Amino acid sequence: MLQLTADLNAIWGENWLVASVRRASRPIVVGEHLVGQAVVVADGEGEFCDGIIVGLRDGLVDIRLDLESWRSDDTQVRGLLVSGQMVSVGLREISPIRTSAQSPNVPMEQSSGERQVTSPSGMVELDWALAS
Amino acid sequence: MPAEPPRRDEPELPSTAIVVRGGMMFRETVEQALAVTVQRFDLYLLSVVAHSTQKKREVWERAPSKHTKVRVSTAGQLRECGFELIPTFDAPHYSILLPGPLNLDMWTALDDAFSPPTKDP
Repeated sequence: MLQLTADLNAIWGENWLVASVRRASRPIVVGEHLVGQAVVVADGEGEFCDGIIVGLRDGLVDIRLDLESWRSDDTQVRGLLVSGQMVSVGLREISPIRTSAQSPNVPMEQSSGERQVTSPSGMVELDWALAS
Repeated sequence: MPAEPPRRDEPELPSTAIVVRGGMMFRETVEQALAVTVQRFDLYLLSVVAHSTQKKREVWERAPSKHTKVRVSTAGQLRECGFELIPTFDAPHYSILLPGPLNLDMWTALDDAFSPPTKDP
């Protein structure tokens, strides 16, 4: 299960969170294979909510949140976070990859529009932003 | 080309209107949230829920999220600190517009404008 962090205040729409991968501790390829993936969305402040990735549009990751699963102090997720499996996300949109001097990544275009960047440290960094 | 955040055409909130930010509102998480909106909108926006009511409970019940702790302020307090409140996305979502990157003075003002973390009001 992917663990995602996002600003859970920014849930616009009916129980929808649209998130994007910001960085990951392991290579993540953004593509249709993520649809149906169960995720735990964390806000970094001890709040958690289960969700399912229900679609991607031009890199957008749509997550349907199960607000009934909202909880705090999720020890299971925390344990996984410690294990280095966390995927941090921003909200709304995966935009084209950004490279910078601080992040000397080499972008690799994948098939069918998938993108992946792997840094020398093995971290994956995908650019992200809010969608309108 | 930055996108425009979708704005609702609504009158300005009265100064007494309750504004709620879900969560503890740590500086780190605020900066993460701001980074997202700068990337997309070229604006420093922080998500809150707000309504013209003066009842905290009424505001929070309108929010989709279920944070166990929240920070509470008013539209008037935020404006006094120089922060504009913009009705964005779907009600009751509002965005606090910060004038620029979050520096220490701005963070102190923002932090002071909200109550300490309190349980779901």
